[in-house]
Amino acid sequence: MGKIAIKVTVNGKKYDLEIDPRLRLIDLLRDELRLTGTKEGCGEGECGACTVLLNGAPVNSCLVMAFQADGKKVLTIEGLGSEEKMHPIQEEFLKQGAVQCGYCTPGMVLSAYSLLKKNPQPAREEIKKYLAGNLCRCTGYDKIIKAVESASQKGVSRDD
Amino acid sequence: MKKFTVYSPKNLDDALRCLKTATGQTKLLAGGTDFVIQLREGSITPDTVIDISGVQELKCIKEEDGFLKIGAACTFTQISESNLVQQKAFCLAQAASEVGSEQVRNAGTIGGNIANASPAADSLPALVALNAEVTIVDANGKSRSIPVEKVSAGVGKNNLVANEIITEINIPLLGEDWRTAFCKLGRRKALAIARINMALVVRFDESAGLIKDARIALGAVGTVAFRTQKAEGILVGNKPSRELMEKFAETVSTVVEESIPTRSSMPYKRTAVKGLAFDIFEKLFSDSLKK
Repeated sequence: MGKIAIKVTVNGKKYDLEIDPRLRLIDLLRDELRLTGTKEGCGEGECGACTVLLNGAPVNSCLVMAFQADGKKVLTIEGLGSEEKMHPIQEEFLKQGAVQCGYCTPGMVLSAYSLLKKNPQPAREEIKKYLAGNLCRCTGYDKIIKAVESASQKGVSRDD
Repeated sequence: MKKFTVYSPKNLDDALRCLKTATGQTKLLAGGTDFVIQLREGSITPDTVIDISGVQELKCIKEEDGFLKIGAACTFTQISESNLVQQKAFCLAQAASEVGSEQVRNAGTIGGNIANASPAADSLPALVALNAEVTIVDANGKSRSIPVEKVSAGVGKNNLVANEIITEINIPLLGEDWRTAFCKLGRRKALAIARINMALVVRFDESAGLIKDARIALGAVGTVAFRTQKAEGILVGNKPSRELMEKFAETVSTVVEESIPTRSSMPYKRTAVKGLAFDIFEKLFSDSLKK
């Protein structure tokens, strides 16, 4: 019952790791790889603060075991933009005032990114449904939806 | 949390091999949306975990021998987006699209939903109304098939033995004259655990305007989703109308009352279910109701 060897690509970087089987994906990202942009909120899949993309699809990293990421690609908020150059979705979030305390933002931005990849011109209702797994207790959502709409109008999904 | 051994089989043969030494302390893991929570709260304490999320054979959806066959490790996203499911078992595609959130649907699987035996499981009413059967295979490769509602052995328990695994869900294909729908009532639109969910599958003779056959399944008003012949009888042989819809809603309401007589949520649910009955009836018969 030792450690498990996994190969995982996080934000384009390949890792060969020996991990404790009890780690969740969020523990691996935050505590082992020090990617603390991914936030833990409820720990039971209700709030979406821990959202990351696993092989391109948003999942709650608090509900995925770390060993399940073996052979897969993970995208966290650190892989989307940089401090020097934000991702266009992040820029729209700022412009629209869609960030207040910021705790939900990494997950929210990743969900929005995944939506625009899948559906570059979503209707307002589609945005609401897609982001329903990401809770925000500050903004009232309207500004977040506006940010996704304006990112969509600017053709953000084609950027990378 | 105690340590455990992990197996991650990539095909069904390997998965069955892993099951050969399975005990009560062996847990199957697929999407993890229930598993990880149970593991952390200590309600499960496995010594061995078999992660079946990578088993290829369990991830296909196909039409074969008069059945729609759905692999147990198919995610809800896969099911809700499948053209085949949308065409052949629309109520199941609808139910799948209303599970949890995008994140939960991307991970959670139909086999896990059945095996975890939550009374509020969203796939269950749809599967029950569709007469779905579940294929269960043991470590020796011996398979058996049981109706989907027989998998549950009470809240959170199932009838599988330690060396068994759910491999497939089989839904008998419906003819062209069948219509299906699913409705759910939760505390909010998204991410809600169903307070009540319902699926209705009917055979409708369009030229005569008559309901020829009906199967209704109700969820979250008992330990497992169940059919209600009483409400089905109200529909069969009749023409969809406002009056029939009222009568149907009243009957469903009594069914709920009889199913959970002592539950504190009963007065709420017996009333709320009427709204759900109206919704589902309107979804299926909007054409007849307009006339």
